[in-house]
Amino acid sequence: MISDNEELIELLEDAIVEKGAIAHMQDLDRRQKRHRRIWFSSVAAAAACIILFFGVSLKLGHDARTVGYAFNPVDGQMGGSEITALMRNYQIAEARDAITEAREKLAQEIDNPSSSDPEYMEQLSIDSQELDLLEAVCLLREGRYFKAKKALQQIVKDNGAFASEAQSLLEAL
Amino acid sequence: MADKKYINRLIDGDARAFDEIYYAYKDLFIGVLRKSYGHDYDHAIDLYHRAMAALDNNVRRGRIKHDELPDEKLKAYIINTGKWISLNDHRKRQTPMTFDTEMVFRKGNSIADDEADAERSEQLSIIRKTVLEMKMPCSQLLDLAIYERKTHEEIAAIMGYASAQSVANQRHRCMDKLVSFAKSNLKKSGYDLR
Repeated sequence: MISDNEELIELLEDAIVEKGAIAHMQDLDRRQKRHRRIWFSSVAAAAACIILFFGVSLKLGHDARTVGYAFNPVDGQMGGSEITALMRNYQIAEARDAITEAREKLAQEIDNPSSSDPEYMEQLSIDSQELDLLEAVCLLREGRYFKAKKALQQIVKDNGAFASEAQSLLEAL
Repeated sequence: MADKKYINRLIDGDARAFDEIYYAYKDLFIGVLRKSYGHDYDHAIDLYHRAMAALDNNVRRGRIKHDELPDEKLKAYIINTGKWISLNDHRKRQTPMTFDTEMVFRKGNSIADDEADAERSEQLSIIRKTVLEMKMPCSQLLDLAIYERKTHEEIAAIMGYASAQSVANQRHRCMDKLVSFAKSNLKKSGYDLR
C-alpha cells in the first residue's frame, strides 16, 4: 500500500521516467529501421548497378562477337594471307600478333620502299588499311565492343579502301 | 564494451550509454524471449522496452551503484528482468496483477505472489495510467524536467516560458494536479491514500 504523498510523488516520477524511456526507445527503433532501410536500399542499388554494368558489358560483348564472327575476312579484297588464315581458324590472339608484326614490316617498307613506283606505294597504303580493318575485326571477335567501334569509325572517317566494309560492320553492331 | 563501463557511464548521466546498451542487447534479448516463451517480435520488443525502462529507473534512483554490475551481469540483469515481467504478465492474466518496475529491483528475479504485491502492482498500474493520461503542457513539462532532466532555464527556452521561476511554479502546479488525479483514480479503485 502506498503510504504517503512523498511515496506517491516518487512513484509518479518513476512512471514519468518509464513513459519517457519507452517513448525514447520507440524512437530508437524507428531510427534503426530507417537506417536499415537506407542500408538495404543502398546495397540493392549498388547490386543493381553492378548487375546492369555486367549485363550491358555481356550484351555488348556478345553483339561484338556475333558481328565479328559473321564477317568473313577472305571476302572482298582481302584473303590469302597468314593473318586471314589464322582468323578463319579462330586464332584471334595469334592473328593480332601477326597483324602487329606485319604492321612493323609495312612501316619499315614505307620508310625505305624497295620501289618508288606510285602504284607500289598505293598498294602499301591499302595493305596498311587492310591491317586496320582486320585488327578491328579481331577486336570485335574478342568482344571489345567500344574499342572495336572506335577503330571502325576511324576507318570510315579515313574513307579508305575498306570504308564500306567498316561501315557495314558498324551498322550491324 | 564491458558492462561495468556501460553502467558507470549511465550512472554518470551519459545519455548515449543508454542508447548503446539498448542497441547492444536488443537482438539477444528478443531472441532469448522468443525462444524461451514463444513470444512474437512485437511482444518481445515491448518486454525489452519495459526491462530497459526498469534499468533506467533503477539507475536514476541510485538502486544500482558504480561497479555494482560486473561484466556480463548487465546482460543477465536485463534478460532476467524481461523474463520476470513476462511471467508477471502471464500471472496477471490469471489474477488481477500488473507489472511493477520497482519490484523488479526490490524482489530481484523472484515472483511476488502474495496479496500485498498484487495490490501494489495494481496501484502502480493506476499510477502509470494517470501519467499516460496527463495533458499538455504538464505532460511535456514534467517529461522535460523529470525524464530529460532539463533545468528550468532550458525548459523555459524550449516551451516559451517567461522565466525559470515560471517553469518552477508551473511544475509545482502540474505535480499537484497529477497527485490529485492519481489519488482520485486510486480511490475509484478502492485504494484510499492516507
